[in-house]
Amino acid sequence: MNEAETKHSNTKSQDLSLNSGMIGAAVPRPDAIDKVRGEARFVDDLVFSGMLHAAVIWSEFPHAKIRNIDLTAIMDDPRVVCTLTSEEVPGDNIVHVIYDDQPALAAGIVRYIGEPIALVAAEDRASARAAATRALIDYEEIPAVFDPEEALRPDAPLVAVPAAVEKGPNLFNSMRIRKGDIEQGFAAADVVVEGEYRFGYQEHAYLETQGAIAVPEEHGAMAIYGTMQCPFYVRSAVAQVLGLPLSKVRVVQTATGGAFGGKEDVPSLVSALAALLAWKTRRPVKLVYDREEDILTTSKRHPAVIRYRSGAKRDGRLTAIEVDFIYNAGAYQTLSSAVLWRALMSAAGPYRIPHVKVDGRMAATNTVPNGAFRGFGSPQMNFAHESQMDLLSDRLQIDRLEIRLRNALQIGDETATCQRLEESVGLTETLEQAGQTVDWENRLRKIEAFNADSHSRRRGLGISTVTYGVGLGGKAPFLDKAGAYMKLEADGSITIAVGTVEMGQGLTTALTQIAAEALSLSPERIHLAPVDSSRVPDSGPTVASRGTLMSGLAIIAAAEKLQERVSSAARDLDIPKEEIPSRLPEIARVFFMRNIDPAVEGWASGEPVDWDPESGLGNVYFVYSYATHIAQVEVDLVTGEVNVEEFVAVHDSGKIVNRRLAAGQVEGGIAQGLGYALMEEIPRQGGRLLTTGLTTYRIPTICDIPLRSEVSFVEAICSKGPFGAKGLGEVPLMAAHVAVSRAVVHALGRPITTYPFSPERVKKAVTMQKNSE
Amino acid sequence: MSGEKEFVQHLQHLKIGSIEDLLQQIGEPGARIICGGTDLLVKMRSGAISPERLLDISEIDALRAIEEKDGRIEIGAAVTESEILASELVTVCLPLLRTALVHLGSLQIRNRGTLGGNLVNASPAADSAVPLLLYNAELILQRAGSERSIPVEEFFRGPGQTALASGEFLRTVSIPIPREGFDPFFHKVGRRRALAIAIASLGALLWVEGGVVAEARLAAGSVAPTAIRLSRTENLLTGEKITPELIAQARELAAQEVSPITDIRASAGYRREVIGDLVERFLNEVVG
Repeated sequence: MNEAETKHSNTKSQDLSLNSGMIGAAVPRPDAIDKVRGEARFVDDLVFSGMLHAAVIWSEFPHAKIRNIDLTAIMDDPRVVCTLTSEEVPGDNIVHVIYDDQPALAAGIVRYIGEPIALVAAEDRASARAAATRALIDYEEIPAVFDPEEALRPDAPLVAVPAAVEKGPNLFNSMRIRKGDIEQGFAAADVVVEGEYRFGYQEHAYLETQGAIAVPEEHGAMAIYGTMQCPFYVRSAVAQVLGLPLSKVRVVQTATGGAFGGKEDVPSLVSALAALLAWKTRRPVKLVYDREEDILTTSKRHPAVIRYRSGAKRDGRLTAIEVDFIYNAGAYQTLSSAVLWRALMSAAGPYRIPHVKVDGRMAATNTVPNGAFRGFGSPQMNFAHESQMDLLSDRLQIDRLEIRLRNALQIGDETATCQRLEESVGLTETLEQAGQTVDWENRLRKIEAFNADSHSRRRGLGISTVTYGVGLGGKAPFLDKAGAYMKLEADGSITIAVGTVEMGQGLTTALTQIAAEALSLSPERIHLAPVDSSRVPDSGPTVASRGTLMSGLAIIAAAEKLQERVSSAARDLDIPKEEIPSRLPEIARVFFMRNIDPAVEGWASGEPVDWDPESGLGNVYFVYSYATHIAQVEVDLVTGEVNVEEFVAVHDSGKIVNRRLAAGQVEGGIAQGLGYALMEEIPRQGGRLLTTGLTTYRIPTICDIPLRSEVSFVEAICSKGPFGAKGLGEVPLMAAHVAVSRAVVHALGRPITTYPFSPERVKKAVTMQKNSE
Repeated sequence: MSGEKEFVQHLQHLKIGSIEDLLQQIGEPGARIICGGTDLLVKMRSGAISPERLLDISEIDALRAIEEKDGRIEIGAAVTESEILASELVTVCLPLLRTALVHLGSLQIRNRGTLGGNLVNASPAADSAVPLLLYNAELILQRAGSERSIPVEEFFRGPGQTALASGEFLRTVSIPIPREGFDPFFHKVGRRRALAIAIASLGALLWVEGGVVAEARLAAGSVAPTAIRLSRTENLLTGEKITPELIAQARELAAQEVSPITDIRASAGYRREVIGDLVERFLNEVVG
């Protein structure tokens, strides 16, 4: 079979002769002990001499002109040092993400509740926060729009600044795919199924809220310490608002308590605000959001509506899909255009479809700007394409696992963007292995028997299959790069610096293992320095499941250079090759005594990708990861409560670098997915979000996690990844939430198409089902 | 986000050593009793209340005991929820109280939160209210020079409102041990299993003797301004044989008897329906 061949050919294409067994090993994470003991230093743990504390004055209206800002009462307290408004911004009053539409501080107009208007710096946090409440902002409310579908109607009030609106009124962006001939595709179909799927927000709910400290340094430079995913985004943003060259801004990532995409673009704003006050006062300034500020003012997963038609032959083979979707961007572009693109790329799912028509729109509304969240526009699509597959299965009376197997992409197939898959497609194996693990057919029979016997509880089995293009892809290939700096110290230890970050996902450990493997050293000899933008070149963002891949490749490139120098020194010393690792201190000493350059740099640049906006086609990602999840749930028909009883997750992310951490990523994704499917919801009233804390925004606790879960990997080796690895981070969530929600639908025998599947929504479906019986 | 004030700056926190000390301080303006703080501190942080002085009664020995006296279990107001869960007396004599408290908050909250605090906070969703209503608990309230005992049903007056008079505090919860031979039921509907504020909850105790309902007690939380007994449904059941027709009537009546609101947790309609359906489930379980 194809897979075995791929594995074989990849073994040849990459030199694994130095394999020291590091790759795949369950190396414990070096940061775990620090974090468990409370010794890891998060941004709010850091104190600088003379440091001030900042508070933000936020917009209280979703759309209003600012007639006057009166901050005189703020200065009543002698502990308040200064205030700052948009007029004092020394550089551009812009936080650039993709477009230049978002101001650091609102100038004359606010477009969402929670937009920053002015800043306060005080000697302590309590004084700063108390002072901020004394601001008197004179607003003149103007018409606003909150719903993305309403926003796109011709008579809707205009939200956005014209420069950022590329495609039409309140239309931040629209994109499409046209593959084959859609009419022909549906004409060839024996059955056509349709669905409309709706989603609300998902909040990241990372443990550590947003925060940054700006520290003025010598010669007019500025340093930023903060919790973040993208130090180089933060550096650009701070340089732009302060009007400084990039070389004068240094960004240090502090221990980061979770991010999930929420710390991709938002830290640029948080750091810019802290930096403005530090610039004005010439003192260090700390700005840390409390939970309420974090929930109300920072990005979330996009609310969405997706309309989906699928056509298939009697044997289950898909002939065509037609997808139309609108996502709610909020008031500014931030990352929404990139999210739109990935949603577009995810629309077809992991299936072979000859005729594809997809249209996506990103609408501007007077709500908090939405942004990156694990899956980046895909999870909504994943529920839609998997719901469609279940509808087809039902209509055609073909088993749900079987219909997926019949359509699953394989090596040699063409994706929805006409990309031919040349290697590393483990999708079919994930389906087969997941099915075997739960004993699919027997399990279905058991569930049927249970349901026949029970009238107030019902079980269901849900299956979901997803694919994820690894890296940033054909829309922004210039971002896909990474550097690594590596140096052999005089005692034979190795210091490495990279530009992608540890945010809890285990990157430090995975990269240490890759370095250890590449250098044939034990991981204890290797230390990854904290991420500091002055140590390495711009390495792009830590997003898109690309960290291990890109920084791993940069480390391998650096290691090869260092190995060369070490081997040459070893030859001079008559040290045989196999003794190099154990005698490295001796060799390092020679480097030191003879002034041999002990430092090397590695560089990785993304594989070529392309995308044509007109047709929406191209070789959009250089490789894809795959997963199949199966969940078993029990639904209480009386209350609508759902208990996730069992979970099976099978992933193809290429070679797994660290099994324990990879399984941890998957388990975390299951928990987060379970929350998205069943619990997490932010009701909105006009432009106001009604959920302001973790009392009412419910994420799962350990008690909700399935008692039985089994995570496994099929490793379809990727010749272009470090030691055959692909990306993993986002995929677990994408697959997990769909397995849970589809299991509920299976249990009820009636579709639910709106997220989340709250007890109330489930009970409503039960009642409707009863009434129809 | 904008209204938050620093609430600890001008605040006195006094550890009260005895009931006598408490009675001396309780009437002072700006004073407020704290006993665990799992609700009080949340309200202080949000600015809903801003006391100047906290009288901490959590270490008064006289309020810390669980005792059996004359066929009653007496629980001091300052006994923590975790202590109640660890009590053998409660496990044996008041199993529904245990069942309800297992679902309260999280371990950390139960370690600090107290029975008295849970009752005085008077949330319609208070987890201890439903079992105490079912057990016909009496609350002993004390003030300088006098004490009185009132049924728990009369203690709750509305969301956050109790029968406590000025200068009065809740000292003891006194619960008659119910006679044996009952069918118990408790279900708390939440979106997750821990740290969940009930969307709705139903508890029940039912004695069936000689094929008919000798006594029925039903109580519901989060479906009215206070936790309540479903007395009309109880009356319907008492003296009757449980038949499918009776179950259907009870289901309907229970749903009518509650007066829920729509909030961000759930709609009134859902809450009403779920109470009726839980009554049906319970009665079906009793019949087997």
